[in-house]
Amino acid sequence: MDYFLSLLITGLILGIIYALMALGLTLIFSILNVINFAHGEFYMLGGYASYLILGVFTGIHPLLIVPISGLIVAGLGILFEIFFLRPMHEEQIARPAEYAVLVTFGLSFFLQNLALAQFGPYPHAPRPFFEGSVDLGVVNVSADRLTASVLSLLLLGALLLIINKTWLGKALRAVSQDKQAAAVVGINPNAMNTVAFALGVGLAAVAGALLAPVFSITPDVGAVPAIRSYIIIVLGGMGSLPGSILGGVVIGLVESFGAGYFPDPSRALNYKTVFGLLIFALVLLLRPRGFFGRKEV
Amino acid sequence: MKKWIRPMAIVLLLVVALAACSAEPQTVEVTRVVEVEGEQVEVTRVVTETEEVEVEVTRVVETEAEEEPEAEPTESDTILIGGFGPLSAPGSYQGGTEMRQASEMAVDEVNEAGGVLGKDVELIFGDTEGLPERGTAVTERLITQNNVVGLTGEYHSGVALTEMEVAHKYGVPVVFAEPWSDDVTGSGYDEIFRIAPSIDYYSSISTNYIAEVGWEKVVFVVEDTDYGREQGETWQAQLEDLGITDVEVIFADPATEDFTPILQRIAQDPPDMLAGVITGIGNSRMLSQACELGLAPTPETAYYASIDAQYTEFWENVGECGQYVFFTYVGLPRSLWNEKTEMFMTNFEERYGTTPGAVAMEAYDATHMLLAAIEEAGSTEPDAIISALEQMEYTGALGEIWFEYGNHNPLPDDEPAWMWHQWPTPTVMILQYTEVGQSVDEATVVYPPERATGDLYTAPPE
Amino acid sequence: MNQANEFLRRPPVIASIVGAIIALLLPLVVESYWLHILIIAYFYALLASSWALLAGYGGQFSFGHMAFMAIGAYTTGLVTIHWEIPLLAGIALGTIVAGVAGLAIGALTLRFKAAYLALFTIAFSEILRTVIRAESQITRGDRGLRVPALFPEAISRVPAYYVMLGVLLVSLVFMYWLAQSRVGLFLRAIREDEEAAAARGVNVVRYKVLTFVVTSMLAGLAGTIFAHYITIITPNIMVIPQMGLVIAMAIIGGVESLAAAAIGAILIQISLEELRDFGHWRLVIFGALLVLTLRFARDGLLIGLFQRIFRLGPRAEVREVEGVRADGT
Repeated sequence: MDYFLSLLITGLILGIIYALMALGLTLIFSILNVINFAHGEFYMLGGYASYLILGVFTGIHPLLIVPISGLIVAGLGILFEIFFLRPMHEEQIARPAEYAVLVTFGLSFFLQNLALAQFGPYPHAPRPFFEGSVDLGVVNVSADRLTASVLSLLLLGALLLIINKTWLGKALRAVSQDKQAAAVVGINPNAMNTVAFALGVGLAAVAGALLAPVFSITPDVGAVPAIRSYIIIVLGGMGSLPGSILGGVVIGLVESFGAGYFPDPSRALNYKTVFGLLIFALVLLLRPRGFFGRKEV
Repeated sequence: MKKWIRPMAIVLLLVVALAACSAEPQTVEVTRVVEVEGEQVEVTRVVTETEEVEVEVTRVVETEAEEEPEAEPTESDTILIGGFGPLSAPGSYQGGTEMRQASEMAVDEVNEAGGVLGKDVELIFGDTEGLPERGTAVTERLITQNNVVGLTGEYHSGVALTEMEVAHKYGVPVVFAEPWSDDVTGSGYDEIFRIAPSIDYYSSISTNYIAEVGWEKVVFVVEDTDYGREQGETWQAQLEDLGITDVEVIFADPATEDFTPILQRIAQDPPDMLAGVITGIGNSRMLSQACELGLAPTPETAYYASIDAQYTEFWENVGECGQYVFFTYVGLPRSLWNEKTEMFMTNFEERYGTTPGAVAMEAYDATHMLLAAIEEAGSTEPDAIISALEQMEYTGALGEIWFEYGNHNPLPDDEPAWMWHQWPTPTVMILQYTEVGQSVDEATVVYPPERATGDLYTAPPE
Repeated sequence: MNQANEFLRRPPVIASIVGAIIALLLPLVVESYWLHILIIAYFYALLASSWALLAGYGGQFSFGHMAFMAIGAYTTGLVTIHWEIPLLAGIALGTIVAGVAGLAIGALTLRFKAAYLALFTIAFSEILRTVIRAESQITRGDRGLRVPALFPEAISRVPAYYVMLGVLLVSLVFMYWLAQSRVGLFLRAIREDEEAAAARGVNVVRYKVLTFVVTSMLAGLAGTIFAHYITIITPNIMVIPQMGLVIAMAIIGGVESLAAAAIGAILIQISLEELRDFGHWRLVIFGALLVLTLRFARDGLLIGLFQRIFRLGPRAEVREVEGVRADGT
């Protein structure tokens, strides 16, 4: 029973962080109608940003760097959105859906190679937020991992508040539902696109910066979280914010219990990621719109 | 239709003209090729012809069935040797780069001392990217295009195993610097020599240590690569021979983020020793996560961190969790340095501004040995070089190096196959960090007993 | 007869024939090492052009092309080793298994919006790689599966060169035929307006799945030949950056034209070899080129060049359709 509980706790802790990253992807998808295939690379950039800044300013507490990394990467996201995605929404580009898939994938190819050429393949880690572990009764969890999870939970809550309670959130939702109607009531859809993209990649970067001291960073560190996020957003229902939060937690638990109870321990770790694909295939077969997806798929 | 006749004719003429070019004496061809290479490799001097042209050309003729070119053996003032290793990802290019630097240094030293057989030596280093298929292509290029007379280097076993086949096909001698797989020298090929430990030998140091301490239940988490799989299998077999049967081997992708679920599983019934045999990022992730869970290193469960713990990034990534970890170290600690080691370390740091690792020492010695063998052989004939290597006793940065078994001293039946053309005594030790941030030189040597500077195993204080 | 004459007179056709003749004569003038580079280049050309058929003609964006290639490679590798069946049978089987996998994935995902295919294939590709690594008793994992050679006796690369070239040329002709046929017509109709096509009675899903299966088989075929040529295959051949490279080749060459994608692949493979001095930065350069090509030269860099040479768009009819659409919507 303790074993079960300990797997449950560690799965939940990671699932919340997974949800944060997937939420960024969903936000971008629901407003821009673009799946950001470079999401993992923004996660990676967030990690490197915090590592590099902490290397220069050795006196600062590492937690303060997390929002700064998020802002820097969000700034890069704004530039990319304006130069590469906005023309698409201004109908300067034929077949925008295809373009969006390719241009974000191309960006991921570029950024991953750039990081590899610039930083090399060796793992780096910024200073930890806090030393040591916290005893949660049935299992010890590192203070950093717990910090990352708690902060992710707070961010998720704050984000849902913004989306549901503020003018910005209303504007975003309006654009996501009907661009033309939104424009009529004076909301600039282009500005909302930029805001949503910056928010989305900023969240990925924050996730990257939060997890950098826990998992360390390499140029390809974003690949696994990105693929996991794709599975989560399909599971939760494309474009649904609550769906991606629930999806993140479910995937966190599935990975934890999957590896914990897989019959052959020598393969358990290898197959941890494979469970995700099985879920992906099952969702497509049985319930293509996921938990809370819009009806048409 | 008329409009297209002329361009077609021009193209056909061009093709015929190009084809005719190939019938010119092969020496011209070689010059062209070498110029192409000259752009790629550090070697900026344009090499025109080499002594080996004749040998290679006859091979080309056999294989390509082209018109037989008139190839004259030509006098050359350079001897070309080839190096190979990973210089870009997915290979471990830090290791590969160090190897290239060390080999270049060795070649420059030889040239300053008057070269080999009265000629200058040039090193052409090929990037294998850590991919077996690239290794094949690079070796083929070095042998058939650059006409190198001998090869040295390589970091990855999987790549070395394919390179070795190419070298064997063309009969070119290779002194491997770092690949560990038993199958490298186990091939029994005349051309293949190695100055790195074999996996069997390397693992026996750790398994004997485990038996000596008296641990009975051990769990290995190994990366699912060529290196990790061979290591895992070897350990299991050796421990079984030593009477330790409660051994579990778990495979993991070296890019695994989170080992926690499997570590929680292991923590259900903690072993005496937990090993993370993973290179790169996975090594530090697993150690940190085991440490955070309170699983290892603890007074009950020791933690073995394989070889990656010797690198400078180790402490950056694991912090306090690295204290009391023990690991295997290949290469020489400062206490065992000889004059050559001192000189090598000083010169390398002066020239490149970095502290070389064991890999650099191996590449340095391997290159020197290859060149010394050519000098000793008095020619660049493969057979003569091989015979010189077999009988060589060389003092390098790593100490006394020789190859016990070869054609001059056939391998006895009771020795393992990998002892062929193998240096029998590379230095392999078990070290333990007792303080956070220690360097390899400061770590305690706990095994083998004749070199130990501390107790067999100091458990972390309760 | 007249029609055949007409066909032969079209400049791109003549250029292709001339290109093919030059490629056939190259072994006379090129050294063994460059033959090797060309064989690999043709392998990528087949992957890039079949991906272009899928994406450029069919509008389906799969990130699993390298996975199907690997399925072909591992299938033929495993059956020729364990069942000791002839290489040709292994190659056929590898191609078929890749097609079957394509059918399964196509049937599962192509009912939905294009994004689902992209999402599913990228996950499938990574997870297949994990499985191949994990099941190392069968696949030998990262240590690499040793596969029988195409021509075990030959030291020369010339026979392998002609095999790879032949497979590439035949596949290109086949894909060209397919693109010109009713299937190609339907594909273009679906890509331009899926609902309109469905309303006119085109079985949208069936044609999409058909294209997906065909291109998966071509990728599998490329993989089988590659495996028997290189004689060692590792899961590293299907990492996502490799997929990115194939996409970069197709896009930079021109995803709207099979020949442009193939030539793009050959040119990029040769430049990767020539630019070895730049180390990893050369991939950064191609990454930047990929993104910029997408943004500013959607048709790729080669098609514009072709048009300038022949003053005739290889796909003039489609461009017109697009022109109308861009104005009308």
